[in-house]
Amino acid sequence: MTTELKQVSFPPEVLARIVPDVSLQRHLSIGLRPNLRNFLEFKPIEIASNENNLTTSNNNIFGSSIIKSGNTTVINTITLGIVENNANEKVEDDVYVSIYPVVDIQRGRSGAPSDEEMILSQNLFETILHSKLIPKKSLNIESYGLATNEDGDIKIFYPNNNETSSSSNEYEDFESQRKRYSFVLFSHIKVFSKVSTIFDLCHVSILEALKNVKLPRVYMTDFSTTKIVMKSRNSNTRGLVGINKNNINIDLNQDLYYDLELNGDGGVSSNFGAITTTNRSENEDEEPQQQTVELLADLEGEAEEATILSRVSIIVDKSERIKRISLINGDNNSEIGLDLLQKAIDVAKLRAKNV
Amino acid sequence: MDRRRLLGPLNTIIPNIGISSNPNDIKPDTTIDNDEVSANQIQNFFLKTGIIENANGSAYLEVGNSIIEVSVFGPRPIRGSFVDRASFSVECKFLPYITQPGEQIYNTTNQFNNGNSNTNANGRTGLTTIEQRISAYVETALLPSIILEKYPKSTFDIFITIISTEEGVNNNDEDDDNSAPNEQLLRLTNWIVNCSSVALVDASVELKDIVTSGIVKTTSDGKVIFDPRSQGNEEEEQEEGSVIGVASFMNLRNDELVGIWIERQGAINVGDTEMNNILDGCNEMSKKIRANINTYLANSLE
Repeated sequence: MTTELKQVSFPPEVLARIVPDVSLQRHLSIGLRPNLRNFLEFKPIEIASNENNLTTSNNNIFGSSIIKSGNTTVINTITLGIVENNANEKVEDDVYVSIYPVVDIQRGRSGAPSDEEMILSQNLFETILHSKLIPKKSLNIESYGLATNEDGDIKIFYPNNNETSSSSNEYEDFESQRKRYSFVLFSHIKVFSKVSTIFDLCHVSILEALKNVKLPRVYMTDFSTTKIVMKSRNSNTRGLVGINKNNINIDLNQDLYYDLELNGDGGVSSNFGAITTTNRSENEDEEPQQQTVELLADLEGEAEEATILSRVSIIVDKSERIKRISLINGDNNSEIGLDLLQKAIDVAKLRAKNV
Repeated sequence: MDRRRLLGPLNTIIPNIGISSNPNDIKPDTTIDNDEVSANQIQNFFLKTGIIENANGSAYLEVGNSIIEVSVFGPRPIRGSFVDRASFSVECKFLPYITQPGEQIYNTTNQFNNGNSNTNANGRTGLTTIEQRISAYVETALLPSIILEKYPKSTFDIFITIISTEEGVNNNDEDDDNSAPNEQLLRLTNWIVNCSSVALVDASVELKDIVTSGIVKTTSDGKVIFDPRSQGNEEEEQEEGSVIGVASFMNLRNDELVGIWIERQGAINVGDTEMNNILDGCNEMSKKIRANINTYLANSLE
């Protein structure tokens, strides 16, 4: 018994979900990508102005950025930690540090970070470190103030403020035995409406946030701020609840805030993928069909993400220096060879110069 | 030690947010004159739907300085044995560095406390007490409106992100006055309920009605206040006896009450008249908000 198979036709958006590779090939064969961009066209990125609400309305945020690309929104907030330096360690000029990012992608699941988020965070950490963007010196806390409490009136003294006051002697004593500290930068990256690879966007968002980081002065308190020690049934930290564990404080005086000094611009990150396309000739019967490997810029959407496995990511700075290349040839049929790599680098350089 | 997140060197100290050494540094006054805002007006708000592409439905709401984003995921299939109705969950999260209204009151015994503690807020894994309270209220209020029987063996999950809150919410004030943070908390919850209802509509979930809520504050002399800004200059009037309440309704189903949350300054019981005042006030406000939402939804169909 033979059953006749009926031909089924699907609308384009359904086809894209069932067979993403076929859908992609059909698009490419007419010279278009599913997102209607040209092969080497990047998706535009909008950067909110530096004066965003996050930094001004939250005392604990010292730098922030909001990046939009299409519907994807990336909100980046930078906060500070303080780490004690080794007493004997001298900070050399050519030592660089990084920022500690935590990427949080809104994907309708709660719980531990996904592999993607962890890998992305680690990648960003290493990229910033090796691009030698943040000199360790610029995070050094040169000197800090001392707060005194006189009848509830708290005053903060800094060593470079040569105020003649009774507390100056007290300060000198304090100065002689002080420890050395430096800042640590934390970044929280919240991603809404993720539709494509977002390393590039996160990279931009960190750079933009770093550019407007303002570091505060810090001061020590020599008086006890111990609150009432409470015991709670719910808490494991018995007896410690309500106590300030450290006496390092951030001075909220905006006049004393200073810019974080960065080394270079950090560069612009661009990503490419390679895919073999079959150019259909006008005449359907004509053989053989011509096969070429095409380079696509800034991959986006399910079809491209699922199908294109040969990828290269390039970071180039404004002076055309290559900061990072990551190349994965995951597809044996469409490998990124030297010629395609050269082409990708040229495009990335051009983009870095014009952004 | 958290091996999944990059939280910096082990000996990192999170500094306290101290005071300003500049004596002239005074927080800008954000309150508006009483004359400009009348007590029975609702604060202006901005609402937009469908901004999150990878969710089934979403809504975004700005009111004052608060920014709320709600994504609805579902109906999604669940694993395991057959159940004849959908399950429903709500998770409300603040971005890690945002001051949560009333955090010194509720989050103090919490290991995730990000106020004066030494933990990096980036490493926070669970919900704080405040987030749990908000999530629980929103879940209670929205659950009766969803026709769960239409979606066997599926689940609806609502994810709420608070991107920004009102400025100066209990800014390290060693103030014993509990009513202000409570009020902020309830106001935020009120707008979250309204925003989440619209997100459910955007996700095309079958609903019995759109839930809207209202918030009012009654003072001891019987005044009913809608807009928080209208009493900004009367801080002293946060006296004993003021009651704040949020109530959520299904206006088209005979004003069915689906959720109520009342906070009162002091430990006195709320009287019948006050209760009636609050319910009537909330109902009136919820209807006004509903009218706004209806207009928005009707316009977005065009």
